[in-house]
Amino acid sequence: MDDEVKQNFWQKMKRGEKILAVALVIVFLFVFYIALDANKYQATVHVIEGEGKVGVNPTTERLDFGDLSPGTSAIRRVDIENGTSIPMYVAVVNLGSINDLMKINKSSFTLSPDAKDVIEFTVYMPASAPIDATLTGRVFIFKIPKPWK
Amino acid sequence: MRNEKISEIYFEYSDLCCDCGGDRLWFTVLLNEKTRHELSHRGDIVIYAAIVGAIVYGLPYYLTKKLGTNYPIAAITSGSMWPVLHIGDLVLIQKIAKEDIKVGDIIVWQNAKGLPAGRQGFTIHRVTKLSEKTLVTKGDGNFTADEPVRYEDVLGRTLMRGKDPLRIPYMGYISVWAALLRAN
Repeated sequence: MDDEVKQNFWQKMKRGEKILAVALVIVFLFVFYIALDANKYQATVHVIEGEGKVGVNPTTERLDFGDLSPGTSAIRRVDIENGTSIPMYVAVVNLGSINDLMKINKSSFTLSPDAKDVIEFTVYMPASAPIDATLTGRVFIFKIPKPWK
Repeated sequence: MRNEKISEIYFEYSDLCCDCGGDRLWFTVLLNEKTRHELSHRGDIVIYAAIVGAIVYGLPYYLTKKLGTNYPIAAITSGSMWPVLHIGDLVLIQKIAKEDIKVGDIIVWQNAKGLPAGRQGFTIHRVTKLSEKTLVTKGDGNFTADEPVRYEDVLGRTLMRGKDPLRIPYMGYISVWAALLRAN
């Protein structure tokens, strides 16, 4: 019964509507693949009192900037490699309360096939940072196939 | 086949032109319908253009008159006032007289330092000190104060909502991106 309804639904669609539906499905799958393939990191920093104090939490799973007192900064780097045979457009998106304090050395660029690059994230703690606050966020690194120049 | 189509349209639009008949009616009615559609579309375009025009030109004009300054809107392009103001915020500026400026106000002043001739730069910082001819400002996130500012360079004060400045998040990103493009 369901198959019959589906078949009728597809058959009732005009040619243009069918083309549009197929195109929409392809776009959805493309976006879904890019979102799924993106590198996702949790970013965090803790504000501490004092002058020139920095605490480091070494980890490779998160962009943890550790403990920073106002006036200090920390840098974290992410290595990115294009192991495919087509150029990739890389776009970095950061969200959350840490967003205002984080600077990215390159937020979008094209990575050639078999090429490597490093994205540098810097967090600078301003004078107005609230002591003992923990600022968090998410960083997404999207890799979009870019066969065109 | 053709007659079917004519009669179909004839009945459908018979209320528009009941004196005519046959082929002539078909073409007349079809033209009327097409014209009506075109006129309707043109009307929509005029309305949309009027709305866009009112927003692009009318809103700044209204704000200029209402807030009494030639620069009623400003975008935040740096984090020097974090966490009160964020990058990408849009703030409204109102004119302020010299005697009304108080320590703690967030003001906008014209800052031509480091800019090419003919270009205008603006700084939005908090007033920390007042004197006879100048005032001193500092970004909340900065460790050092700015150079003294002449009162004539002050363009206005941010419009406040309670204790905090009225800000429209993300709406200033157009200016941020434009500044980035200019820098590149």
